[in-house]
Amino acid sequence: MTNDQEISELWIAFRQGDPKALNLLIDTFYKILFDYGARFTHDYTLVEDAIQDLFLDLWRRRSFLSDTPSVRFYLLKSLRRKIHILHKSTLSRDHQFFECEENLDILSEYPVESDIISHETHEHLKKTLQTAVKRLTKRQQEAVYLRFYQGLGYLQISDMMSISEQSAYNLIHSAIKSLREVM
Amino acid sequence: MDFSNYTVEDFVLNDYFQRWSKGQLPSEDHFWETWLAAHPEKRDEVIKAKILVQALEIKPVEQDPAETSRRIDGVIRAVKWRAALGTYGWKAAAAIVLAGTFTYFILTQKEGIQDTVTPVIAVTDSRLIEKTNEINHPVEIVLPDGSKVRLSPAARITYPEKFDPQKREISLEGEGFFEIRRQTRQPFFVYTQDLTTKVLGTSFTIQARPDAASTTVKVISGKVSVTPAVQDDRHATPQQPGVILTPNQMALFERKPKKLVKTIVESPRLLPATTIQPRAFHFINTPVAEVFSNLEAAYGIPITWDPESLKNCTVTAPLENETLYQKLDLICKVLEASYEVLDGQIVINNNQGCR
Repeated sequence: MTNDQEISELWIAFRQGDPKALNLLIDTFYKILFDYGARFTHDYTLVEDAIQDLFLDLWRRRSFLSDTPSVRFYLLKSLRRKIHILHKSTLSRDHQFFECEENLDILSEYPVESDIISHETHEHLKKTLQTAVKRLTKRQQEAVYLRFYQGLGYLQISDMMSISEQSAYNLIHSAIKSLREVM
Repeated sequence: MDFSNYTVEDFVLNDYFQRWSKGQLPSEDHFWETWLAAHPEKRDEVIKAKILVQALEIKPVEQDPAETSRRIDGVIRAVKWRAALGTYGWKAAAAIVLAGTFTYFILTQKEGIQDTVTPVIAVTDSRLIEKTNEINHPVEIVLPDGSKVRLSPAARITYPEKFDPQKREISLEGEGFFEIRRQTRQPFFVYTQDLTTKVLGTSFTIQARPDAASTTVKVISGKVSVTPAVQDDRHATPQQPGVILTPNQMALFERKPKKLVKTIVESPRLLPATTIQPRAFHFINTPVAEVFSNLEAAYGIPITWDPESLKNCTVTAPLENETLYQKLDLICKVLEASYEVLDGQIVINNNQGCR
């Protein structure tokens, strides 16, 4: 199930309370959600709990949900919030003075695939770049992840990260610029 | 789309370009190769952009497909189960009493913390029905197989509209009194937050009592299997060992730390099925073997004793209506022995033999 049209219909069926739609929704988005969640914490149990809580909430509130242009985005965003809530309660230190979303940083172990297409002449360069990627700020890394991996648009990224659209755009462009500087 | 004015960044951020850089385009699609040939001045930028795209390639988090599949199933069941039950604290007691083809047992559990409810009921396509007693006296409900439940006030049961052909399952919160029809091919399960009770025999009774942070299941007669509630997949525990309880035995489940102990009820009762002779416990020079086998038969509790040390002993004790423990106290006094309860059995300890 990759088709936007199919997902749109799935969402409608879900909101109407079709239990098969619940199954399919979870089936379709679990991996994506898990991948995202796993970038915030190594506690995979927490990520699974968050996913479960998320779908439970949505299922319970299904008749109150509205239509959405991007189900994927909606789910990712909701998951981020869930993880934050669950994560917060397991934190031992008091982080109240941080703004809600800010405390949750994407992992700095930002795994970079290095051998999709190997051209030996560029191997050295690639390694340099990989090091540079790891030195991007966490915000940059998250923005890049959302743009390149989850395929979200700038507006969605800005919503997700609680920044302006311009800031989202800047994050990505500054990331690319940083990388260009080492080339 | 005019790519000739694209900067390196523009290329990097272009989806189509990204896919080409990652080798994700179909093999027949030679757009970029062709375009590049037509725009040699952009070659340098294109190469840089391609390398950047590859550098920004994000490795998916490792997810073993089989494991993921299991997790997905777990989430689906958990969500459906939790949605059906709500997340109220549990106050469970199901009383099942035995009579003829019906099976009764009682199980009680003290109100617990709102833990995640474990997904246990096989989610069929059958609708889940939830019944809550909202008035102030017990209400009787008939289950799809004809079994009956008498729900105490504020209690709730959840069960499928049609039982699964392999098993009948119901969850309980609060107190309920069950009359379960015997159906050997379709065992009956009652789920509460911490324990799962399976009806095994045709005629048995389980009786339990609320206790602090624990659940108890007591058998009055018949046979029941009690296991800790199945954890959902993420905890990845193998099938939890359970206990089988026979009459007068009791399972005690404690939450912290988690353990399931098999022991004997506080007040063992004579088995209802046995016909007790009027002076069955009126022992006069009765050999020990007979004394103990009498008691075993009458109460259904295995008694272990050492035939060697008590070989030639007899007991004289005019017992009658005392409780089992009282009887044991007296008998052991006579034998100069002691007893202890171990794993749902009575073990007689005697070091001295008898005079």
